[in-house]
Amino acid sequence: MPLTQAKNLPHTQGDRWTMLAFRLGIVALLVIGCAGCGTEEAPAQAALKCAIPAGQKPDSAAELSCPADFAALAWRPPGASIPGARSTKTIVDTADANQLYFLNAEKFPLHYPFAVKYLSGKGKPLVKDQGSFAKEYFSPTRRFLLGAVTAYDRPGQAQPTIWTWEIAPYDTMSKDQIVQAYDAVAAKTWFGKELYLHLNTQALTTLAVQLPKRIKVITTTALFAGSTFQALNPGTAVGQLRFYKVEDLDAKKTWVTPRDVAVLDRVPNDISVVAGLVTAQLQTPLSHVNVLSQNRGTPNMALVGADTNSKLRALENRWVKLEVTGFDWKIAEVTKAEADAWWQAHKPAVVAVPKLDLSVQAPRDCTQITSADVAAFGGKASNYGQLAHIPDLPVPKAFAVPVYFYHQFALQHGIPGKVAALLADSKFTDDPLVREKKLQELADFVEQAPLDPAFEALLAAKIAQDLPNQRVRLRSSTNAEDLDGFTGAGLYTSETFDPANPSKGLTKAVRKVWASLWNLRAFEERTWRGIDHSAVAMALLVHRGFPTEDANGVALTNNLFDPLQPAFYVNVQKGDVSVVQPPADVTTDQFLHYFAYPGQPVVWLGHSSLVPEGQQVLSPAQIAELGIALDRLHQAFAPIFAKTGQFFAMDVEFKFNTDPGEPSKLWIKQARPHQGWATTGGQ
Amino acid sequence: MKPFFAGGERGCSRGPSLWSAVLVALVAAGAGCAEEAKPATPAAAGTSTADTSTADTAGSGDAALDVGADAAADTAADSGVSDAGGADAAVDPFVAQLGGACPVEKRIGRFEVLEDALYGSSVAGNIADRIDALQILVAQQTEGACTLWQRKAPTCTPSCTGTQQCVRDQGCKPFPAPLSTGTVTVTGLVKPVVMQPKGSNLDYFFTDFDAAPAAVSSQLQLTSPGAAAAALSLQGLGVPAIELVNPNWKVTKGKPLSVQWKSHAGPWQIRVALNVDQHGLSPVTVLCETPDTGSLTLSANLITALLNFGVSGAATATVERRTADQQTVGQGCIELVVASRVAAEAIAQ
Repeated sequence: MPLTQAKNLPHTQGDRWTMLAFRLGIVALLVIGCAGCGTEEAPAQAALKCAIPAGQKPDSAAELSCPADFAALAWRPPGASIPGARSTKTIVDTADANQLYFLNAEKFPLHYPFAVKYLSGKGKPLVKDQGSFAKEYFSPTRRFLLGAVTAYDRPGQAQPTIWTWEIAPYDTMSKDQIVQAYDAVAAKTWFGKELYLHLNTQALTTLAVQLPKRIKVITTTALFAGSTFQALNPGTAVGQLRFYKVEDLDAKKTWVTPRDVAVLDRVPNDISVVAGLVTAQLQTPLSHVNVLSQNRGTPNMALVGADTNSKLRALENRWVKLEVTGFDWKIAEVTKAEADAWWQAHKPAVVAVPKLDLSVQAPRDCTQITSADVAAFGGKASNYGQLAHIPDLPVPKAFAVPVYFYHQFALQHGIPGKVAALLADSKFTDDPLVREKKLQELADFVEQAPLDPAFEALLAAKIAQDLPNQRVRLRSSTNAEDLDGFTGAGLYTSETFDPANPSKGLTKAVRKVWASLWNLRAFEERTWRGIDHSAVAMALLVHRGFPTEDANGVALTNNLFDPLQPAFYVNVQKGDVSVVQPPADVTTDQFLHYFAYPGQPVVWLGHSSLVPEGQQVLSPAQIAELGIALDRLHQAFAPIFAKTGQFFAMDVEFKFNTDPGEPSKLWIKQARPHQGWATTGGQ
Repeated sequence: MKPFFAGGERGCSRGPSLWSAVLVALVAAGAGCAEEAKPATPAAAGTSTADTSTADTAGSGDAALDVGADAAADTAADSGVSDAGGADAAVDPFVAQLGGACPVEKRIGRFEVLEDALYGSSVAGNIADRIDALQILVAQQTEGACTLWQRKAPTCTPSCTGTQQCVRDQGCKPFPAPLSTGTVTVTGLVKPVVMQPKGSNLDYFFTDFDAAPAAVSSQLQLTSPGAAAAALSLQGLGVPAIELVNPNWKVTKGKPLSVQWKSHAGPWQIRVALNVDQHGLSPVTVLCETPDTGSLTLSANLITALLNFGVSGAATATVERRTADQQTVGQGCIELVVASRVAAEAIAQ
């Protein structure tokens, strides 16, 4: 049966997975939730004559003449790992009279297999190995013009579907080639007059000014203006649907519980354990609350106006099942019994922490520590030690104080007994307000308890020797953080010791950091994952401070949104303004850096509100410097944490800092394995 | 000094036959042209050359090669022939003249006579005016006959424009432009092949074969008069079809991978390519080169190292039996590979 009208290629049924290879990750994340929208249907569609026979799903078609044609070829993944809009790939074969193909994207998630199967030999130039095919994205004399047609649904907006033609972010197609391919696609689609070229890279945006006016263009920002839904961490949650104001939570006027599906009026900087989270404002994927959600395995979505959404309000305080996929969400009421049964079946996996190694009883340089030393130096310092082993990685000189000293301190002051008493108190375990009060009392106790003078002298001498006459950061490093499967990100406290400032003394800093072991949020997270509180202790990571930050940020060393196209995902902000817990209404620079690809293109996904429009937080040279470091780091940690067949990325904290008389320099502060996407809440 | 690609004339010498230390030395010194350095091409096709080769010990040690899975195994050390036929046997003159594949860091053109289970039989090739930076890989780890190669995209700041590519230590350079060498004729095949360059990439190709393009041990010759690119004269030898004994591979961290095929003694070599693809741009590939003994083991260390670079998309694996010849053109090199290739079903675990 003809696949294309002209080419007599066979129909086949598609298989199941795709990569919407030319869509952008975060861009895809911002796709508006739209189950069953079908909004591409134009008013005049009744008059359209489809090119593909009803009910068939060919491998390709030569034209898209009606919505059903597009539906037969387009695909979006059913799972949560790769979010996105519906898309079909396009190929223009310049060696065959510019024949155009719209591909069955489900069966051919990449252009290459289709080209091998249908466009090689039999009078056409051979399509060789996949490595050689890469030139089709770069060569000025390439044979194929590769792209994708994507439908972005925008329910409720004046233009409910935006049709775009997109090229890969690393594609170096010339102006003429773009025009050629765009015109070909526009001529063979029923929506051709409304087809936009998606300016998904800076290079393409620059090139756009040279394009003929007939080519409609749209920027990522414009494309997603008015987006109302994000699936930050897809999954399923069962709980009681409750509405909160962040202001009330911050003021301790109310409290969330682990069995809440919480709807918040805005994005909080922190939230205790909840079964599922819905915010009425959009988030960023690396925000603290999303990292928490990923760590907990609980779904997290943003739905603009969620706090007034009638569908949600109708279920307020009822038991519900919330399902968040990469593209949409649904919610349904359940009975209390069903909720209980679900919880029984989806208890969080218990995290086993390494048993404390108390044999190490002296500070140790991080160059002498590796990821295998969690039991003695905690997760953060151990991974930091691994960083220090990576050649040419800009890591501040550091040492670590082993857990032994906290353990001794705790024994000296009877802390294990105090904790045991708390855990035996049902008021403490059952009432979050009591729990908060008692834990604060415990933390206060730690902050007031005297340090062992010998330890204090030892630490002061080490700092004086290794990091003299400067501000020093003391950072928490428990044996229950930065583990594979439990990051414990953002749970504990770092403090500064400044020898020139009596208010930032060493004793105070040590006790403040140690006291954070009993932060409520840390306690709640450990409880959620079944961690034995009595088995946890805190080491200290000690390195220089960064008083003059030019920029700070967080990066993932893999493409969270499209693992088939490796890229670094970077969130960065000017100065020392937090990326993961930003002030209200402050946005960050966000971009994907396709470092492994020729040309190493950067795709901008968002811009900082703290730099003038048209500027970026990092210079191109700084982005390149960061990319080199992230590449080294990723490769160094892969043998330790990567599991074949699973998404692997390191979550990296970095800074650019300018010391007096020095140029701005990159520093890698921390790296921990990233949790990836959740699949089912509560697991 | 002659231009690199003087129309209609040989730009430079034929490449070294790595069988001959003398020729290696000559080529290393830049002396001698191919037509001067090798004997006249035997005309008889189908002549058996089994048991006629000698050991290939020459190798440049160049740590670079091309990224393509089919073309990816061309180390500078490749002679294109093997010693599987017996070290004491006399060297067939035709076999002896095969110069092996180009050092990838010099390769600007490639022709291939291929029998491929997936692609079918074909003759194809093209030539560019310069080396493609995309094809350069860097050796990361070698174990036995196998090496793990990585492509590292160089950084150019500011980024190169669309018609340029970033070349390590050189900045932005024009992307290679295709060149014609005029009509290309290949003799010794099961049918005569005459090709003209076609399309924007000036591709030469011929795919009208019903079965293998060449009889086993048939002597092939590729010639062209030259045009923008130099005239060519390259030789090859028909190879037996490759057949895997174990076509399903499980690539598992910490475990060696055994590759087995039905061996055929002769002056050819076996190449194995394995990667865990990333949209066809996999930055790492394991490549092995070995005599046609019927088996090869990729070490557990190498497999682990490969997988540690990350797995995305489908794993791809090919095994091929082949001979190769090369011709130096200016500061570049053009090669002819005659191969039988088969893909394995590789699953990364």
